[in-house]
Amino acid sequence: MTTANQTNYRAALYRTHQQGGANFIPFGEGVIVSDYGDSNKEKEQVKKLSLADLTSVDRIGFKGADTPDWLEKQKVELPSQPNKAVQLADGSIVARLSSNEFFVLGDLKNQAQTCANLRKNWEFKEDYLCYLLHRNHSHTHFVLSGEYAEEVMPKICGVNLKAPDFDFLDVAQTSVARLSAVVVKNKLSDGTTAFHILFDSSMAEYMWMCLEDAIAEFEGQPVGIQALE
Amino acid sequence: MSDNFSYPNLLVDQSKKVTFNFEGESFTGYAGDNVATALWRNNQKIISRSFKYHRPRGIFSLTGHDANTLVQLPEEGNVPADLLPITDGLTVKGQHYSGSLKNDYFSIFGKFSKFLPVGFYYKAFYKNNSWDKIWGGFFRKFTGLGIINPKNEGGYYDKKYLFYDVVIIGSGLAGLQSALESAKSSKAQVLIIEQESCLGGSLNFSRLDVEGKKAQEYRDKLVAEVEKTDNITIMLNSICNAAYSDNWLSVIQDKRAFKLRAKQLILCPGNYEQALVFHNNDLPGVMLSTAAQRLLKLYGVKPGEKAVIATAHDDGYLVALDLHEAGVAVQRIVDLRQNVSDNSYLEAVKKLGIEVSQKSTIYAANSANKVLASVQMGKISTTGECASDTETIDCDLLCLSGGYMPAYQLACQIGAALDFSEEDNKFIVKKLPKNCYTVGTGDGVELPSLIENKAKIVAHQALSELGLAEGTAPKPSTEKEKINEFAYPIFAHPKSKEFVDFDEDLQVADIINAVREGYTDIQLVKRFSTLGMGPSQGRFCAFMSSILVSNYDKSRTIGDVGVTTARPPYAAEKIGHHAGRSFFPERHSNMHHCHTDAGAQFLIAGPWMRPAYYGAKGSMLECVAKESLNVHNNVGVVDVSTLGGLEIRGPDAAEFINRMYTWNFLKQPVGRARYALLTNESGVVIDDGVACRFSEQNYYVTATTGGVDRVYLQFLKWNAQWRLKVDIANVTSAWCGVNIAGPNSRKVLQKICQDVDLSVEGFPYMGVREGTVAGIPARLIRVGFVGELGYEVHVPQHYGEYLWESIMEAGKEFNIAPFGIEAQRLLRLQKGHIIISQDTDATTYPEEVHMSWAVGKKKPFFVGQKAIQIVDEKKPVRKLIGFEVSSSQTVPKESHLCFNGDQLIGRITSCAASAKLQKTIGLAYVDPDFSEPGATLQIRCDNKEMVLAKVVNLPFYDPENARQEL
Repeated sequence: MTTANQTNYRAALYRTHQQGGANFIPFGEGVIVSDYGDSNKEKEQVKKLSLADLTSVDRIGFKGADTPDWLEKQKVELPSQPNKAVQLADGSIVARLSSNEFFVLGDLKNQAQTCANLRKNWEFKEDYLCYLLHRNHSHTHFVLSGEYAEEVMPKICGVNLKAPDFDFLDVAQTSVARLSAVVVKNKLSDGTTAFHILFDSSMAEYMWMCLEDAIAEFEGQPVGIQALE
Repeated sequence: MSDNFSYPNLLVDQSKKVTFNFEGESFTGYAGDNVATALWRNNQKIISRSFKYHRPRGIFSLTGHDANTLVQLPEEGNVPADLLPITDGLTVKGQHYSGSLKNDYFSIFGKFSKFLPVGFYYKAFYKNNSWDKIWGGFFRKFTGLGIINPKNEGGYYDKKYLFYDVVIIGSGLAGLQSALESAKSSKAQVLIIEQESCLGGSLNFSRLDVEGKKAQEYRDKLVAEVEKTDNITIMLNSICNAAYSDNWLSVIQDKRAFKLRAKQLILCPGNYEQALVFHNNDLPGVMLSTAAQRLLKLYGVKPGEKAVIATAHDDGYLVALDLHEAGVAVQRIVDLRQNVSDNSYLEAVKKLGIEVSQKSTIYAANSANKVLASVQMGKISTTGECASDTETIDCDLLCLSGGYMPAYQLACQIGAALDFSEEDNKFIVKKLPKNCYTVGTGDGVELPSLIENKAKIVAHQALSELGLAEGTAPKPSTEKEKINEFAYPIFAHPKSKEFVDFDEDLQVADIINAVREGYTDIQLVKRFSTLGMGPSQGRFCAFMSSILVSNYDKSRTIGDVGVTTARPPYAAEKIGHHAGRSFFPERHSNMHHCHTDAGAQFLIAGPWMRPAYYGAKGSMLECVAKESLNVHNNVGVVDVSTLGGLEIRGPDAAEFINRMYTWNFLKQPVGRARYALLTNESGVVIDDGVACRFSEQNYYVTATTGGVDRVYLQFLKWNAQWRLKVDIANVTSAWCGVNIAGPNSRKVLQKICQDVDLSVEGFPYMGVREGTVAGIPARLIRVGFVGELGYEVHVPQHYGEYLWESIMEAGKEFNIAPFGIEAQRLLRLQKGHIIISQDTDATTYPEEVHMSWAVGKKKPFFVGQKAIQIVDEKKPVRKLIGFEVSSSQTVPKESHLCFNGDQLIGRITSCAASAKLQKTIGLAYVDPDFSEPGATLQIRCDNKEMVLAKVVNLPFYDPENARQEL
């Protein structure tokens, strides 16, 4: 049985999930909530409204004037303009935050190698303006999914994140529940709408509490990663 | 329930009885009733008492927009009874009375109204004189309205954002028609906001024709169409409370506040029927005609048995027809005008035998048992005056129809102007901003066909702006609106009590006297008299007061006088709506739960929760002493994750740091840290930290916990001008850190860090290294903030907890113990290290805090340099000094004042009792004349006790710095 604190890498919320009856599985450097007892039930919940902590899913960032050049050399497809994202063949998502800043999210199956390869290949080169950002530590990653997700976001965010104004693979850098956040809209494998919410990792407990409260109106529930796959 | 009246209505289910309590008495109404309608149904006509004279009040508008029906709930005061649904067991009281609602002792003040003239409070309490002491408390007892329950725990309120293409405020004929026209484009998302519980607006209760069919036909057709239109969303029981630029709207629905952005805004709020002004026009039983229609058609309540209708508008005749059909005996229509606009109305009522008196008015209303019993009617002799031979008519219902005032508030909030049309005898909203329109009676249009036409035109224009319009724009109708003859509606009475503003009990003389006193502008009349400042915010008095002032000052027309400014909120809203959900952002380091497990008591530092000390609550002094001594004698560890972290990377990194900070950084060696003092353009100290150079082009700079965001913004701002080749990243949350401090800190670290040479020579004071600690990639900085040998270890955030556990495990054999922020503050104080924002303020220059050593005077530039040079040339006005107090004396606190005799010479910024030094030490700003070591200060403590302190040299501890360089 996987315990939440068996690894060096520990996301801030593992105690909260433990108290919620979570089962954990190894994932990336750390562990992740597999489920809260009944993954089949959670799969149904995902379609309606669910919240998941994906902090252990890999992610990395790069910024600097030479970053597009370097990423292209790494054969990473880039969104054509800021505040757009692309999903790579391995399931990773590349979000363009500005002309020269990128945020790369790993996949939900922990099989994509894009983040790991970028981390491995990057090195600090003098006079070459491409700088790595430890997004896997600076940011916590939640995903809000389900048919009511678009109804929950306006409770915590002042930007219109509904289609058609905000479409799949659109990116918003905005305030969510009073915190600066990056929001990426995407679909899960079954087409369910999912908002990836990335924000300051020191605020994880606060944000989880806010979102749990916000989803309660629509009977949303936390789910583990099995339900999202 | 005394009522067995039954009438087709929209809201009440007469098969479901509901019992509630009012004033200790049980009443029964029906599901759908509100408190006001249920009480009226039970012939309970006194619902509340007025603000100033404690006059009995009953239903006036039945819209929730007047103060006549404010009631008290156990948890809440000032609740409009006409918006409060009855529920089984509900307990309601009237408010603002002494004795009972029916027999209010304070109503005697009505007899002394001459002694309470307009501006009474200003005049009586303008100066802090004995009046306030004698009468202040007294007046406070009998004025004011509901009672706040301080024990009320509040409720769950929240907020939500909404975004729509076309937003329509109001769902009467104009709103429904506009919505349907706008929704013709399936791409347009249309929202209707309706403050009532059903669509229809005034179509639900008003009568548009003699036959009484037209309103319902419109309603049935339009509502059905709207309800089946997919791209129309309906929000009922919702009130748009504010309209700001760019169609940014505030909407309140139950306990939720919506912030709504409308690409196109169509205002169809309708209008407010106006009362007439005469003696006792506030008696229970006197109400607006629309209120009587609402009672009847929305709730199925018979408004009265015998009615008189006083009107200055044709609609009064239609109300008479409604009441007659409901079985109310209409005793008389009293028409202030010489002529009816539509003669068919006059013929219709005459056919029913209803008597009409034209060019007549109500002179006074009379009461029995404190409610309306009869009216005195007379012929109008001249403007505002009535012939002396009045006729008394028995009635228990007097319906007032004094014309209409558009609901202009939202339109004016968003930038429109209100103009009085002399031609049409009414106020009209004009000059609306782009993407905002008004349609309907609120637009000054009353004819349904004209409203329909305007709705089509406006909706087409709105869709055009959205790029969604199809076909050509509809043409404006050539049909003409009926002109309603203006009739002066105000009749002063020798006994006064002819109320212009019911909320504030303002009578005709009050308004006139305000103008006489020189407050001629209507805005000043408002401020002096409180006109329009009550819950109805001028909805029912703005027009009347404008007419009144204009009539008094003949040099000004009604348009010249205008109305008072309508500011948000439109209707009452609660603090809960503003507060929303009660969550407060709180930052935790990855080690947070380790501190909790270790028994930490937390303090709030900016947004962070930091361990103050480890031990039982209330044991701070003992814990701080213990923790600090353990650092001095052994080894301690403190969480410094909250320190700001900024990465400055790029070819110009050193140049950037050199420009930002006061000291010299261009020649800073790689592998070294340097103290970094930040000043703003004015030379004021705003932050400090250490700049760690990990490579030629890679700096890691720390900043204070509370200051890092400001520092980051300053960095971005300056480099937006300088355009240096650097990347600036705020990595505060990417890193977690601890400071291991004490003589045994090296030994602890050596156990878990093997790839860094930790020897004195290999890793000297202010050196920086990269390596691994407990197998985790780490940055190490040799620092001396707490004055002992120490290492800051920074690791990526999510390894923080593991790092903490590893250090505690490695330090077991050395009796390592955590120390909190309070101990850290003491330790740094001993070393004379300042804390930015505690030992500095908004005017602190480096010289004042002995930081001139950290200012590179020969540098070509740094932010604040010029200002510092100017300040340094002047004589300082204060200095930060160290002082000590013997341990036998009271420990002063921060902000206590320093004196020399009676002369105030400074204030304390930091102070604590040091267990190590066995005395109290502190920092204080003092007059430079008292800053030399050996000078004495008298410190005034909380209980005015004066404590003697001596100025000493800094630091207090280890002046040779031998301890930190072990």
